[in-house]
Amino acid sequence: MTEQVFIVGTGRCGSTLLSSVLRLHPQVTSISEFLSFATDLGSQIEATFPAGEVDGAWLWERSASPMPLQNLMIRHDVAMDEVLYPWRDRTHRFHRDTGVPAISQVTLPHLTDDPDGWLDALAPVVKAFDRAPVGVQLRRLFDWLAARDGGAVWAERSGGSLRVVHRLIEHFPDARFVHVVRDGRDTALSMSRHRGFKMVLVYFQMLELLGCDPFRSDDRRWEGDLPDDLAALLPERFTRQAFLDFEVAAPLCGHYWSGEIVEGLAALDRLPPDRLLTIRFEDLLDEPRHTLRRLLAHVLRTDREDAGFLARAAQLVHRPASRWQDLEARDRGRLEAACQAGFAALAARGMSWR
Amino acid sequence: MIATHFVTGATGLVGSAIVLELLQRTTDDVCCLVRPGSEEVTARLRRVLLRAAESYAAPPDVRRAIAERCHAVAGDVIEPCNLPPDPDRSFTQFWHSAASLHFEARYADEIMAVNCQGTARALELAARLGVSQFNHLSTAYVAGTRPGEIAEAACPRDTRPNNLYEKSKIEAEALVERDPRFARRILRPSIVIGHSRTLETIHPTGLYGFMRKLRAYRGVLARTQASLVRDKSLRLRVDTGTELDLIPIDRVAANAVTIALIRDPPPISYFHLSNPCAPQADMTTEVMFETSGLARPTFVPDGSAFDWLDEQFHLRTEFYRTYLTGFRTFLRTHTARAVGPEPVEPYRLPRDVMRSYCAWYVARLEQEWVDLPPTR
Repeated sequence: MTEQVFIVGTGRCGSTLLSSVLRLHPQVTSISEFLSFATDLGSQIEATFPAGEVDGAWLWERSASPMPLQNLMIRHDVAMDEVLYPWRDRTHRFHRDTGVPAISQVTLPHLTDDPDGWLDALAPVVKAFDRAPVGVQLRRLFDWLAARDGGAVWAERSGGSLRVVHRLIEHFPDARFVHVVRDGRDTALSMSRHRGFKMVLVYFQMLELLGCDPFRSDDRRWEGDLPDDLAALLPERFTRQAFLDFEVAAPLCGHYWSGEIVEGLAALDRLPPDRLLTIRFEDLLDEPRHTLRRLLAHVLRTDREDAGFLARAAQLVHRPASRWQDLEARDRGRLEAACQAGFAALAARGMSWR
Repeated sequence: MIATHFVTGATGLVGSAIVLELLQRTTDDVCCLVRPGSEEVTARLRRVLLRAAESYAAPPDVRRAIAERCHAVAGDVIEPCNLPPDPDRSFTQFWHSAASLHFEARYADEIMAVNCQGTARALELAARLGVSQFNHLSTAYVAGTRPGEIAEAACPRDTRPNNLYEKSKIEAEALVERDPRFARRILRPSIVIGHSRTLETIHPTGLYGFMRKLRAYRGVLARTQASLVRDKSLRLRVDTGTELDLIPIDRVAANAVTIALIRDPPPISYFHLSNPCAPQADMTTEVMFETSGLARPTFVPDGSAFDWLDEQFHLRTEFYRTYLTGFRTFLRTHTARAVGPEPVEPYRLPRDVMRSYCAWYVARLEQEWVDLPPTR
């Protein structure tokens, strides 16, 4: 059976870089953003991890159906930069009118130049899976991708997957975990400028104000409670400009980061030390080779040095542009206050930032 | 000839309660203008009235009265209504209670159309029906930004509204004031809440809208940083000691009908349908937070100590600020004179009663909002 690794984090913490790095290693199959898109940006977490057994048809439905949130973004040309499928090119099978299947948005194009071909090959395999718990089904799917890619290990990495880490620990009892942590202030600042997080935070607010999921229900009884800027983002009213105009404040993202860190660390505390590696994103920036060596040792369970890989991988490491220190004093203070709980939880586990 | 009241807004909170009150206290028929929709107008009217009768524990014979004496007329208050003549019917009083209660900017056209143009149309229709009395349901908050004692009189010309809703109601009152064809009563309820015995309401607006904001605030906190739900004491701009003028729907309907049944009314008169012993805003707010499962708020006189969360809550609940700040009392001299001695009990809203009101609504929301997908 293929070795299993999950790279988890709050999102905007540098984990995408690790996916790209691992993609370079011939023994690793880098599965990127499967969970992000199968859960439709986290709006369908419970539906993606049902209790009991599911069959192959169910898994295919979750993996290969166009999902409402992510495809609304594509339809209005505000898709996240992470989306790799060439949906703007109408000569491809999937485009804004058809919607793009969840697994085709990033996961398959991250692995191959022929995502449609892989999708066709994968369909009969997945549909034929016997009934089994969802963790087993996902492992079968990831194992197939690894076999086709030639990897001995698969490493799934989805932005913001710290949110589901307790479910991953439960459903994948043999998996190892890499937790990427970045200074909450920089993370939150980056989240506030990211379209995917904007969509997620818009969705949270709509859910709680409407009392229903606006993407899966037409109940608009409490539409009058939506402020104008949110009402303009209802699926039936959504426009590109309204989405671009909607501002997500960095302190909101700071609170979100704190919440994710507090809950995520509590879940990760359940893992034995040999199943968890924590990487500070800043260490990756400051000491790329050393940090990548640690990463590889955990992912491949080997101390063997691969100098060629490390050199190529280190070249991918670049310092991001956004810095919380550049904010004005008032904004900086508010962001720091919002991140306080997250930093406290990290400090209790021996990690601190200045 | 069948004496008949004509009512707009009969499927709304105040309108439906007035219809039930008329059915109980008169032998008159009631004709209601009902906006056409997916449901046939008579069926919709009766469904809403039966629901109201049940929510307010109305006597059993009201159900029969709804079936026998209530009639729906299809029409929209913002459009001309061509009511066919009925020689057997004599319209005596017109009740205009249709209104838009929205306040967000995107509803600006609707608010002005329904509340102002709708009032103009209602006056035209009342004239064609030949009624002698026009009862206009307004709001006590046409007082706008005026502090202190608010008299039961026309709004001074320099009244400044706090929002578009108040502006529309001020303009609507002015339209009624300028029309001398009927005896006009301007009835101004304050913040209408559920029935004093059953606590229920069929249209949870006002206080209940604020409670939904609290529910949403708690929900968003739980999805972002759950510990804040119990730890964060929100700073709120509430003037401690100010009155939050809440009045149970049954008192509004009972007093409105009592006033309307007084013979030989003056050409125009004003009545505050408000609470003579309104509860304190700080106590009521505390109870709303408590029943919503939120930490007790901290009341502040201004926003200087606001953190980001305080500021966001403040911005997202701007509409409700009018009710929680400023000191004003709605004088009810005319109302008291018209309705005479009243039982005090339905008006008294001490902490435990407020808790019951809020708990009823929280329970209802928890029943309705059951399938929200989890964040983790």
